[in-house]
Amino acid sequence: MKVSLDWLKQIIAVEQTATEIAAMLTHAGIAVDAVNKVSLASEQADELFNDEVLELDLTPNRADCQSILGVAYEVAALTGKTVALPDGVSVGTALASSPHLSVEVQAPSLCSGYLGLVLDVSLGESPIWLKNRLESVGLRPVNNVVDITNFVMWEMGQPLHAFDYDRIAGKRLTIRESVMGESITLIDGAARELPQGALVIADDKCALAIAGVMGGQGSEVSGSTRRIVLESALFDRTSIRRTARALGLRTEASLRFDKGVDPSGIKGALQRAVHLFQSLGVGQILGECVGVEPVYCSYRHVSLRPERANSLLGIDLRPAEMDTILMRLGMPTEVHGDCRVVSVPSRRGDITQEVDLVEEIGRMHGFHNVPISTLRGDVTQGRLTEDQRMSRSLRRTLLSLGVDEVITASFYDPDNAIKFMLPERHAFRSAVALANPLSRDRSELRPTLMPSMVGVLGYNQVRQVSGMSLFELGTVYLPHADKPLEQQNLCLGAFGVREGNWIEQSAHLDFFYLKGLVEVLLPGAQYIASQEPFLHLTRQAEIWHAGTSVGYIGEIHPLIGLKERTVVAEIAVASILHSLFGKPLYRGISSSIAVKRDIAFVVDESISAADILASIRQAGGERLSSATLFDVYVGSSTPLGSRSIAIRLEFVPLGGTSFTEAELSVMLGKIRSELELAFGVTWRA
Amino acid sequence: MELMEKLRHLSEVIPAKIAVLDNVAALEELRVSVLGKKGELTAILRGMGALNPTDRPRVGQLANEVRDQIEAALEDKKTALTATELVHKQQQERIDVTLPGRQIYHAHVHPLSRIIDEATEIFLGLGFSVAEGPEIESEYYNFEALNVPPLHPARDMQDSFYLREGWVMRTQTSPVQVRVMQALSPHHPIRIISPGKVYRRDDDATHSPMFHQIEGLVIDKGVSLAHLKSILLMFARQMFGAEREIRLRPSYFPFTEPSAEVDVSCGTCGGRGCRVCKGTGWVEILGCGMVHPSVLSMSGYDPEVVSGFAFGMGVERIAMLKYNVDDLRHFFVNDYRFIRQF
Ligand SMILES: [Zn+2]
Repeated sequence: MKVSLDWLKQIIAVEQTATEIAAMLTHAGIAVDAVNKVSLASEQADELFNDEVLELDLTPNRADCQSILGVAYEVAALTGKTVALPDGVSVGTALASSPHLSVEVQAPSLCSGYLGLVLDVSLGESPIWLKNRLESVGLRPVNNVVDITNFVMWEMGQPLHAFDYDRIAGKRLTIRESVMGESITLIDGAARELPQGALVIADDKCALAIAGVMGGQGSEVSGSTRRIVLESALFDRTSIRRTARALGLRTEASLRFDKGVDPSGIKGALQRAVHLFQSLGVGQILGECVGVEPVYCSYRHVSLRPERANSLLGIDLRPAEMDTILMRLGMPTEVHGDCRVVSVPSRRGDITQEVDLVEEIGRMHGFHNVPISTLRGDVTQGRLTEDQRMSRSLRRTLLSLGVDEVITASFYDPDNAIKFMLPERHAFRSAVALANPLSRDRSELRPTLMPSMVGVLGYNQVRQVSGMSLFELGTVYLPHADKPLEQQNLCLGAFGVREGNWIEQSAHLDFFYLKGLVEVLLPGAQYIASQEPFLHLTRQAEIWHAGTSVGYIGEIHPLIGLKERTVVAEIAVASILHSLFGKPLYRGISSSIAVKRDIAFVVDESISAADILASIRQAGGERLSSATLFDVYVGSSTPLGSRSIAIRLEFVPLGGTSFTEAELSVMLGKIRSELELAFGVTWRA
Repeated sequence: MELMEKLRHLSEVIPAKIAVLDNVAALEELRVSVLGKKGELTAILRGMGALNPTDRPRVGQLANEVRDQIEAALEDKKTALTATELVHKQQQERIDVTLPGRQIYHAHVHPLSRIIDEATEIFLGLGFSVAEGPEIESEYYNFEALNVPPLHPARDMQDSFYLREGWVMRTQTSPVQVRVMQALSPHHPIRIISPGKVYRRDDDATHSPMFHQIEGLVIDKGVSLAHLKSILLMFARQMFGAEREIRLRPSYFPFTEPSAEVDVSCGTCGGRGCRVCKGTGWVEILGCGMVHPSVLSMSGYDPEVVSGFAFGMGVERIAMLKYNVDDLRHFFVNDYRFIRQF
């Protein structure tokens, strides 16, 4: 809403500058975004008309400030000055019947008041001052009739509409809901089909205007117009909003009706317009005002307990001071015991209950005058839940392992099915769809974090970074019968090398790097070769932990189109939290010294390291404290199709004793023969 | 008394020899030549047996003195030489201490996580707990229970994402607060914050369709706007600096009344006015207000018995202000040159 300072001063005699008014209004909750100077032509050819315009950013509850008059009431409350109603506005003038026009409201629930007045007009250009008024607030002057309706709307907040009287069939206006298939050609020249049930103003033949939104071309005021019907009406907010939205039309009129106009204003606006028509010599009344007057109360009674206002605001105002504040807002009070009954004028449709009055007192008293006082009450212990503490530990663990955190959007592109070569029925193809997405590539909610991770890694790969290791902790959304499920996942992604320097070798951020991270997070997990379509045919595994599949790890498929070899892993967070952050229990330290022995053998390539280690552990029993695979070699000295493996075994004697050589060789022998038996290994020197 | 002469001679000559030696090996050689099995002093001591008994004590005493003297001199010299040699050895091992150290990668937390962590710490310290809830919500929790009935104009303010079957992507984390209120009403006081992702159907230079919020809720007997001011001032000072001030401007949110926007004094110019604060000296950081009585009663509290306040802030906005980030989009692109600055 734009407010011309010059215009405002016609209604309220304030001395403050535009900037001062802007500051006052802002601190009272009518945010002024900017104060702009305007210079326009004036009646004197060699002089300019200078004005300042306040740009208000109104909150949706303050419909009353969508007019110069409404803002003037607010300024009056802040300054103690009085509002002078614009010329022509008076009380009275009853409705009468007119031989020229009849009005029939067929949809009274959507139109609670409708006044029509026929005028003889001589169409032409508006005087410069009137054009300046409109231009200063961003309206385009059209002709004197339309300009007057716009002027009054801006000044009083009541939208007016002018029909060409001679183009009204039957000289009768009917306010009704549109019927199925009805259409109208609007003043912008476009023929529009009306949504069924839209409120229209019709004559005996067809719809002339979409009520409160826009007029039709058929009855538009044009060069040939001699007589008009001036409409001032009260339409239902919701109906207007729905229609305006359905048609994609947001007009100054529809915005005002949508937020709510003052029911007491419709007659005053008409009077004001008539005054302008007459004083500018644009038109004369033909007959009386006809239609339906709205039923409303000029004042709504809302009770207020001053003590309650003080306790909610944390202030200590005397009731009389509250009376003064309310009086300035045009709300007289009456004492009823500990209570005040406050008369709220109809223009303040936002004030219906006590707390609304508390807010008025608060903002007028000034939030800066509210003291600062420490919260009392029982001492509470601030705490995180167990899960929150564990998620926090997980994030910190990952950071301490040298993995950078990323955050990406939750949206998902259905074309990921193509990009990641997902077959029908793949879990990553069934995503929760948004009903009103911003674009196709963001039309679903992600069932996996992987594509976002691949996106971030790919983005950085083309930006000359030698390597990255990233994690994201985020929600995935899984379709479910009733409400989609939300699950916390961890996605890891890496590529390239962590560059070394003169003393440190570069570290490869490859499959086994990532697997190393997963091993920290999920000790004891199993890795079973898998067949995810978006991963490298032979470099991928499903991760199993505690008897369930908890995720996957692998190198991204070469056809996905990344510049570098890239590895990812995705794991359900719940499985990690419970394995990693359980309560540790001390098991004692063995006083015996561990004995180490290395074994090295050649074995068929198809035998997995996991199987070999498992059978060593099995054969080694409880005295084998660890088996570390420290070398794998394939080369000229190994037969084709086999590899050489070396493992360091560590034995710890039980109960503080020590091994004899004989005992050791029994244990080693058992392991050796198990390996020979199970895998046909041949021993290396 | 030839032996006596010899002893005196040794006590003069040997220390002089020791004095000029410059390595531990030569010193050891000398020790052996004097005190060793075939050493000079050893020979003298051995020759003592030939003395007559009256001379023996005198000569013996002198011999012991000379031996102690030589041993002490040898020991001192050895200590000195060892020290020198250690110095020398270390000098041989000189490194260029200005060479860079081994590469140890220091990982970077995402700036938004950093703000959420920091805010969480602040509010934990003020006795708040952390509450979480789903991102996919029912319209009841996201709107109705927050005093935004169907067709309320406030639903225009936050054009939302919908799923089929009427679910909505939460437009604020307040639904979490409603769930907590329902669980704790009608008697338990509440002090919580709820951080998390929220969604609005907006996408331009200053709006992201997904962003993060931290909201707070306090409900108790006798809670007032003055208490809200004190909590917000403590928060602003801990988050942005002890010298900061706050101001509240009346505003409108459906679920609070009175409502206010909160500005913090501009850290760039100290409140004098600059480009960051558009010349006003203040920057907006959050919205807040007293919980609307309808919101309280819908969730089972009696607004005649308890009152409450709520506040909510955009994490991206706080991060932009705190870290001087000039473009919202950086947070979700994750360019390595961006994330490695945190
Ligand atoms: Zn500044």
